[in-house]
Formats: sequence, structure tokens, C-alpha cells
Amino acid sequence: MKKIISSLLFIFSLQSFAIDKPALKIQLTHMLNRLSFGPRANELELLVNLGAKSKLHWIEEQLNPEKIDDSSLEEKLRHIKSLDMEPRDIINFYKKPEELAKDLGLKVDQTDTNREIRKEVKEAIGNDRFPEALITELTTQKLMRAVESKKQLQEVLVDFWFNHFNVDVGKNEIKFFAYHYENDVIRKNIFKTFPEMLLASAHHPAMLVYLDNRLSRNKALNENYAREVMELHTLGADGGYTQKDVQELARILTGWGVKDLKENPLFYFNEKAHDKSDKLWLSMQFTTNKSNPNSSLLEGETALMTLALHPKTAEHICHKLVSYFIDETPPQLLATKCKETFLKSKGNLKEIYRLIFTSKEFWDPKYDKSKIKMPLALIASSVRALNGEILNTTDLQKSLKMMGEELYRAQPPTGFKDEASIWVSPGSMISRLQFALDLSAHKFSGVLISWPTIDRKKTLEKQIQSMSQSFGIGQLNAANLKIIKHELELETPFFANNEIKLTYIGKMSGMILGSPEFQRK
Amino acid sequence: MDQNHSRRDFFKQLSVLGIGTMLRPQLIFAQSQPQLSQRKPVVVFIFLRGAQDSLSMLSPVGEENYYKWRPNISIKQDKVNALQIDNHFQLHPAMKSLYPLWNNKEVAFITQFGSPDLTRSHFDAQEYFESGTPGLKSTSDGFLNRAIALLPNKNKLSAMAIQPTLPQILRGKEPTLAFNNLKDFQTPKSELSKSLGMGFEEMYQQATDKVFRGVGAEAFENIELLKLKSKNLTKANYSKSNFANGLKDIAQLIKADLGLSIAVTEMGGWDTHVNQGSNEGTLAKRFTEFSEALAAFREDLAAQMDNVLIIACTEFGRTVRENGNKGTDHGHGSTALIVGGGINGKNLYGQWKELKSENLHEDRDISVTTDYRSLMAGVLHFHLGCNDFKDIFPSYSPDINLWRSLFLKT
Repeated sequence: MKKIISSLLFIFSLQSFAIDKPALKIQLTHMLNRLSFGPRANELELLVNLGAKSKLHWIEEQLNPEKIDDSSLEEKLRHIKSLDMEPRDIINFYKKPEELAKDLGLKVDQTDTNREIRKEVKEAIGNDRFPEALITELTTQKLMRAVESKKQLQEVLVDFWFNHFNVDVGKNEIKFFAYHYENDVIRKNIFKTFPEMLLASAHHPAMLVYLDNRLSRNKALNENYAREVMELHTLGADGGYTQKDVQELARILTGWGVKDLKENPLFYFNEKAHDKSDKLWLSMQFTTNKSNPNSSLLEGETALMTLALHPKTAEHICHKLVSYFIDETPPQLLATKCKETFLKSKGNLKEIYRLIFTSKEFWDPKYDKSKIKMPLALIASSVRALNGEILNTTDLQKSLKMMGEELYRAQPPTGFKDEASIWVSPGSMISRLQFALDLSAHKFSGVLISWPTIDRKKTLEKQIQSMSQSFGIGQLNAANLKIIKHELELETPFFANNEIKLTYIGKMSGMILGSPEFQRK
Repeated sequence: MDQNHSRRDFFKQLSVLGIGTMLRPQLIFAQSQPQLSQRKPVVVFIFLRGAQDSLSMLSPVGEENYYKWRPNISIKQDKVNALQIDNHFQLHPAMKSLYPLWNNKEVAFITQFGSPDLTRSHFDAQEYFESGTPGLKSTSDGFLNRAIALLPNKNKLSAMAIQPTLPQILRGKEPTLAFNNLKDFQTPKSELSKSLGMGFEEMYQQATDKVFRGVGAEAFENIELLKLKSKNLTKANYSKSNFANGLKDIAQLIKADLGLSIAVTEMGGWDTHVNQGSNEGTLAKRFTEFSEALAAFREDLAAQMDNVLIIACTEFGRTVRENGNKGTDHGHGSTALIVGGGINGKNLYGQWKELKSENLHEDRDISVTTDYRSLMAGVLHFHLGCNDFKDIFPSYSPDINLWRSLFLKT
């Protein structure tokens, strides 16, 4: 009996979704383009077969990543040395060539040039302890996660929030704790609350170094962090604060610094450096209680909490999120609802994401493909489309650089901006096309790709359409279909033994990955 | 459109990209002789992003308050080796490679320069500067793009940015090109793509996607020329930095005579909140990199510099008083630098009010008495022949006559 019911259910569900299968496929494509780094080979098929419920089910699953088994990625990440190390150990391990030479007891001539020292060290222990190796490891883990993690939404959000709370590994010692920052400040708080993430960033040595607050002292103010925390992290540039507010906040935050920066960097509140005179900031009065040693530190925490839950912050953050996930011109009604949820839930990020991803605006066909993929998204989605795996990222780092998104190296505190006009230019188009061709031609030694299977029984047109769909393009437009078809007709697809030529599939894939449609999400 | 024709063109372009193998030498060499008699004037705009400390570039060493307010970071006077500008100002010692150009009347400074907008946000200030509409956020294009529209004899290579992404100053309806490095156009070939006579060009030409239709077509149309010219090697001694490399590429593009009128590049690393140093130190290193690159560019272009005008400026200046970390914070007015073979150099332009509290903006910053739009209008008028500024700088009427003495060599 049970068996009959379940097979009846099966038939029923089969019929019910057979009707709107194409529509469902379009929605799932949109979902995977926006909330993940694009569909992996066969991913869409699998979801479509699960029926209409798969949308919300997928979103709910992704909103709770702690329940997702990601062990095969985790196993791979274990081989990246610096990820398991504490900042203090990283500082001791990754060093400039001359320091390594000294540690290794290599005889270094006074007259040796840096290049010669580097060469000697390299001959002795290889080059994986140079500071650049650390940055390569950082980039590698980022790309591995973007391509291979099953917690896709989490990684998309890590990219969003890292840019929001940007730090640059090019500045001072930041490279030594950039991974720690990404993991402890960003990734760990992704599904918690905005105040938690803001507070974590404010306390982290990477931010304290990046925006100089560690150097701000009583009577020797440094305004850098105080300004950017209001302008970029919370209220927004039109958040209604004044230059005076910047100075007052800088005074409130005096003493927030880093201990043992060059050995074992940790947050440190230097009470002696704190400005204990009265402050008036955003119409709030701050009076230090000199008999209570915690009072000084508490001022900064109070100010940051005020910023974190300020209506202007809610507006700014919602504008950015809705713009990121829906459209550069955010639908106003949703932005307003988002702001309300932000304030009501005290910045509960999971609730905010859920509101956006389940809104009717998110699924509105008019926003289909309205966003341009930034270089990281383009690269990750291409590799995912080819069911790829990252081995190393030497080549991909070059591609990212050429397209203008050298990871972890955005110098301004805005991070890499999610604005189409920045990323679409003739020069960067060349890099994008070159990338599509090279990836499809197995030119990247650090990336393993495997070809989608081609159903030879289908017409060429159907083969191209089916590849485009599995890549997340949906229906390829008729003109482009014709062009690709025409190009492929010039080729003989088979060897004499009737085996399909890899170059043939590669050509198909290269053209699809290079098409205007694939540049969008 | 004739399909075969477009296919053939595309092959050419692929070869330029290093994508295809069908190099066509006759096409490549056909245009390798620039016509020296018809050289076009070129404006090179350098944006010093991050707020350059102008008081360290051009230091008022003749003023007491300069030393009083900057006890640790002021530039020390060196009576013997000083790069004296006049008895009031001195050029930063790290900029010694520019000093011969100053003496040769090829360099001028404009003091108390900047934007009327008072923001101290780098990002807003840069955006306002580049859009040409201070205070107005809704402008999505850049004033140099609007200027291109008015250029006589413009072509698709009239304006280029040598930096990874297209800066706002060049964004807009007119075609522009941005790239990091001329070398990028000769990236490794792909075995697969050898066999690809791909219809990328057609795909992008026919794209219903407006955003990509434009860029795709531009990318394909002009690539060939870029590779061709990138083969012209230079003898000038450029140092190894992104900035120097950008200038080197610009010099190559100018020498190749492709029709370039406006080149844009940028240099960062000026946001010196901490330990900026004085005669030596962090900022001094930036000045060295900056001026050595300019000097190499000048050497590279030699006599062609007569047609070239460089303007380098920043989004706002820094505080007059040093902060608690031997650095400076975000300020207001700054100093612009002009280099060119055809200017009345070895002169200072703009006002200078001595460093006194009452002369400062909010008692902390250099005030702005020369609107950047005025100078930029002068540059565009006297060097590129623009006469009409109502679209370039809406609701602003520049008085270009202010700049006659700077740009018309006597």
C-alpha cells in the first residue's frame, strides 16, 4: 500500500511540475546565478527534478550552512598551510627573503642583492615561505570555496561583506592576519547580526591597522577609522553626520589599538591613550567615569552599537544588499521593508536575507540577468559550469588582476565596488574573452575541468542550447545561437573512430562562456 | 553587413589579442609610420588618488607657521641642494628629477586648487571631481567623456585610460578604452583558439544587451592598433612601477599617432595618515616614483612634448597641521601640477594666502580659490580647442582667459 501511495505521489508530482518545468528552470537558474557562484554541471537538472519546492528548500538550506556537509572542500583546505595557523605563527613562518636567510643561517654577503638572497633561499627551502606565497594561499582558499564549497550562499556573502568591511593586504602587517579576519570577523558572523559583525571588525587588528585607529591617541587624533566607519560601514555618506562628529567619534575611539603587532597581534585597549574629556557626538553626551576603568572602553562600544542600529545604517545596508542581490537601482518598496526588518530584528542578518530572497522582487522576471558578474564571479561561475576543481591559482590570479579584481588588494576602503560601469570596458572585455577561451582550452594548469557530455542524438542547435542552460544562461538568444552553430559547423566534431573531439566541445564551451549573456547573472 | 569582411577583420583582431594565429604582417606594418607633421595635441590627466599632501610637494618654507604646525613632517630647508621654486616655496627634495623641467619652464603649479564641494570623503570627492558636477551624485558620466564629444576629428582611440578599470572621468556615451597594460594584449595563445574563427565579434555586435553591445564592438575594433604600437620599444629609463608603466604605455600610444587626445591614468598611495616622513620617508618615496616617471615620460617623448600637456592633481588636500601620528588627515585645497613643452612654465598660478588661522578653511585646511573646473576648462580650451563648456561643466561658467598666460607661450 505504502508503495502504491508513494508511486502515486511520484506520478502526481511528476505531472504537476511537468507543466511549469520551463518556468521553474528559469527561476532556479536565476536563484543559482544570484545566490551562488553559478550552477555547477547538472545542478540545475537535479533541482528541477525535485520540483517547485526545491527553490525555497535550497534557500533555507543555504541559510543554515552549519548543517551542510562540506567535508571534501574542508579536506582540501587542510592542505593550505597558513589556514590552520595563528597569526603569530604565520608571522614567524612567512618572511622576507633576507629574514629567512638569516633564520636558515645562510651566508649572506653584504653586497648580495635582494634578488640573489631570494634565489639562495629558494634553492634551500623553495619559495613557499615568502610573503607572496601567503597571499597566493589566501586567494587559493577564496577561489576553492567559491568554486567548490557546498555552502555557496555563505561564500557569496563573504565576498559581499569582505568588500563592505574591506582591508588591504598591501598595507603593513595585514597580510598576516587577513585570513583570520575573513574567517573570524566575516564568515563567522555572516548569519548572525550586523552589530556583531561591526563590533568584530572594529576590534580586529586588521581593521585597526588598515584604518589607523591603533595610532589615534588623546590629543593626537587620527580620524581615518572614525570617518570611514560612519561613511562606509554604517550610516552612509549622506548619513547626516558632520566633520565635528568625525572628530568626536575619533576621540571616543582613542585607545582602541593592537598589542604586539609584530609578534602576536591582539586587540588592546590602551586606557592611557584614551581621551577622557567630555564628548558630544551625534547629539549624544559622553562623559568618562574616571573611577571606573571600563568606562573608557565602553564609550567606543556604545558608539559602535549606536551606529550599528541607527536607522540610517539600516537604510544604507539594505540599499547595498538589495542592490547587490536584485538590481543596481533597488526596488524602493523592498528596500523599505528591508530597513524595517533590520530595525525590528536589531540587524538580524538571516532575517534580512530571507526577506530579500523570498520577496516577489527577487523573483520578478524583469531583474533576470540585470546584474553584471564581477571578475571573481565570472571566473568562479565559469569553472563551476565546467564542473571544475581548483588545484592552484597561479593563472587565475593573473586573470583576476587583468580584469581588475586582484583579491585582497583593494586599496580604498570601499573594497571592490559592485557597479556595472566599473567592470564593463573594452579592455576588460578582452580579458574576459581570453579567459573564456583559455579555460575552455585547458590552458590553466591549476584548474581541472571536465566537459559536459554532449548528446549526439540531439541536433547541434539543441546541444548548444543544453550547454547554455547548464551554464546558467537560460535560453541563448537566437542570433548568438546561430553564430555559435555556424562556427561549429566549420568543424568536424568526430575523430575517425567516432569519438568526439575535445576541441569541439571546448570551442562550444569557450564561445558560450565568452558570450554577452554569460557576463551577466 | 558583409559577413566575410567582418570575419576577416575579426581574425586580424584575434591575432592582436594573441588569440589567433592568422597574423597578417602586411596589415600590421601598413600603419606603422606615424605622420609626424600631423601630430595631435594630447592631454594626459593623472589623478593622484587618496589626497596628496600638497604642502609637502610644494612647501611654503618661507613661513613660520608651516614649521610650527608641522614640527615633525615639514620639509627641512637645505640651503645648498634645495629645489628652490622662489624665496617662499621649495619643491620636495625627492622630486629632483622634475627640477630640470621646472628650470626649463616646462612645469607650473596652481595653488589653492580644488573643488567647491566640502566633502572630506575620498570617494565622494573623487566622484564629484570626475563627474564635473561637485555636490551632485546623480551624474553617471565623466566630464572628460563629455569633452570628447566636442573634439574635432575624434576617433575611437581619442580617449584611453591606462588603469585596470574605466574611471568615472571617462565614462559616458563616447567610446573610450581602458586597459592595464599594453602587454596584456599579447597574452599567451590558446591552442584551441587557433582553430577558432569565433563569431565573438558578431555576437557582441548583435547583442541585444546595450551595455555589452557598445564595449564589445569597441574592444574588437581597435585592438589591432594597440598591439602594433606596443612593439615600439622605448629607450627612456622608466622605473618599475604601475604608474611608470602606465606613462610608458601612454608615451607609446602618443608616438604611434593613433589619434589619442585624452589619456588618463592614476597613482595611489597618498593617504598618509601616519608617519608620512619629511625629506625622506613614505611620502618621499611616492614623490620619487611620481617625478621619476614623469621625467622618463618627458625624455621618452622628447620634442613631441610640445604637443603634450600633463595635469596631475588630487581629490582634496590634507590638513595643514600634522596629526598625532606624524601624518595628516583629510583636508580641502591642494596644489595642481602642470607639465608641458608648450606652457609658460617656471611660474606659480592661483592665489596663495599665507598660513594663518584666519586664512584657513575651518581653521584647518588650505582654502580653495581656484575651482578645478576653471583650470580644466583652460586645459581643454587652450590645448584641445574646446569652446563650449555648458555640457562639460553644467551650471558653471569658467573664465578661460584666466589661463591665457599659462597656456599661451610667450
